[in-house]
Amino acid sequence: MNARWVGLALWLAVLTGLALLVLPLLGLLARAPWSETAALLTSRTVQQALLLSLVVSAAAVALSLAVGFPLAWLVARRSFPGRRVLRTLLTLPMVLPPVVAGVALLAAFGERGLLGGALAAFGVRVPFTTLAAVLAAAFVAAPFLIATLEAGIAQTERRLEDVAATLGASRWHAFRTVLLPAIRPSLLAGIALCWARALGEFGATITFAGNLEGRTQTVPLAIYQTLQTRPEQAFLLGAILLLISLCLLAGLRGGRFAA
Amino acid sequence: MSLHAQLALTRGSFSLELALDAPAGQTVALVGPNGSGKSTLVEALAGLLPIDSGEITLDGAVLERPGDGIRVRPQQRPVGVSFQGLWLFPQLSVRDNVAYGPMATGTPRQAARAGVQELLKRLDLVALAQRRPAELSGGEAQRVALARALALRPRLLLLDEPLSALDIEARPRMRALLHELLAEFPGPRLLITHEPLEALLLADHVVVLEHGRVVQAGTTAELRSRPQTRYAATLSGVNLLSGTLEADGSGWLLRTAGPALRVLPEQPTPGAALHATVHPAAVRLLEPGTPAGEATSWTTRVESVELHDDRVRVRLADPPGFVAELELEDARRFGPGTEVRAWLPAKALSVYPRMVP
Repeated sequence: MNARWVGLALWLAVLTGLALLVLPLLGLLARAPWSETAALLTSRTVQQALLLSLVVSAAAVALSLAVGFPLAWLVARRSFPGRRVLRTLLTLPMVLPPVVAGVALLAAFGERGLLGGALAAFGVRVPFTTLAAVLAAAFVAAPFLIATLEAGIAQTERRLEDVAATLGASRWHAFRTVLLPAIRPSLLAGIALCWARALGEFGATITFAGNLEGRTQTVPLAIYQTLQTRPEQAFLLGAILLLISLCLLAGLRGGRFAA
Repeated sequence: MSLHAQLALTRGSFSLELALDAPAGQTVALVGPNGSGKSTLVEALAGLLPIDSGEITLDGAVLERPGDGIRVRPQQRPVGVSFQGLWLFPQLSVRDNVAYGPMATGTPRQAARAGVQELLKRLDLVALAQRRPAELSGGEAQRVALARALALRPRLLLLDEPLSALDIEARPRMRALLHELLAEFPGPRLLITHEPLEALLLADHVVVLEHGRVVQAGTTAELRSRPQTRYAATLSGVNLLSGTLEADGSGWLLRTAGPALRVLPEQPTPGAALHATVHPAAVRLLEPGTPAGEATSWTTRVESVELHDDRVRVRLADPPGFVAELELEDARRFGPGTEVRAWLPAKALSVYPRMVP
């Protein structure tokens, strides 16, 4: 084939890719009625949704960190039977349709779910609560954190921790002074991805937690609802969520995005 | 005041089983081919790898004795280790690498940093104190690793291949510094190496490890004069042949897998299992068919010819690995495949009992 044609085809692919990935975002920013921002932000529904989004996504990240760090360490550092199966299971939610994740969560924590009955006995009802929104967001977002962390831990040579041990460092001290600095970039990237995913979570949340204003209605759910009645406001709310996500990624990746 | 280790451990298909004594104030070199278990022993002594049975004691205190459920954790062992590959902490300065031990064990940061000043001076690292490991040469990095291992004033020093990170040109200076540091260290020190010269120059005792077992232990002089294995013989650069002694007329013959050697044993016992060594320079290579007289002689082929300074090392096909060392002008007529007659006078063969089956 002619080299010129190859070049042309490549350029065409690049432009199509840009159109596909960037055009919708530009469209959102262009169509958002920015003059209504002040009015929108003072609306009680929107304020509640924004606050809820922030709280739910932050809680989901915290939960992901708490359970994800030990899991990532286990998969990266220990060899045991079933390690590969565990690793696959941990990444499965990444490829699962979110609505399936929501149904699965219902099957586990719902009234007739695997754990639901036991929880109900203690008077705990999970579905359609803020806690359910947090669980849904954590379920779909934690794999991003775990996978990134696992790669970071696996790349860090174990020998450095051995050296620290021979120098009298407790496990905790070695973790703080050797492993943590070494995996800092992975940790920040993992948190950024996890947070962004949690912030954008929709399908699992609406299935498992419902769309209850002030309790489970996060910004994506609010956008969905607004779109049916006042589409222009939905554009604005979408644009605001886009900016928040962008700030989050840029902030956590330490300016590497801006550069 | 010494290290005493008598241990066994299995790791996959590899097993390490040995007894080792290192007196205070002495340097014991542990030599052996790759995969002989040297680094595994370092990990076991440092407490990073549990032993299955036996015991490790240092100055009479038990560090590990699985039989009694005793196992002192690596953090609590007074053992300084310089690992092969060094493993300096990449994000810490030279000073903080050296002060890591004191800081990890509770010395406040500023006091720890000040406390290692003497050590930095001793190892000529003061000018490099603010550098990161990535900005150091191999020799500098090795000095940092040594200083770091010494910072907690350990009572046992383990140095795993301390010269391997260095260029050939940088080694003599480092070896001299190492010699001084080892002499200053009051406790037992274990030097792991696969470089025979390093072991012979730096150590008082040499332990030869092969396949996880000690095949020979002794002073460097003993090791040089009476190597027990092919590997041990290569350390001092001699050819090793082993066989059984039998009487042959008025003399004695050592029957080996290859040629039968005419030898002069001191206290001959027919049937005795003996080793014989011969220095490559004592071997002569003659035209095939040359009468041998009373000396040992056999016909074989040249396997390879290598130049070493002004000498030529001629490797023979039989016995495998047997080397003759010739003057340059005597070696002109030999190339790979040349048929030769190897010739050894009985006086050139040193014979002694075989200890390893």
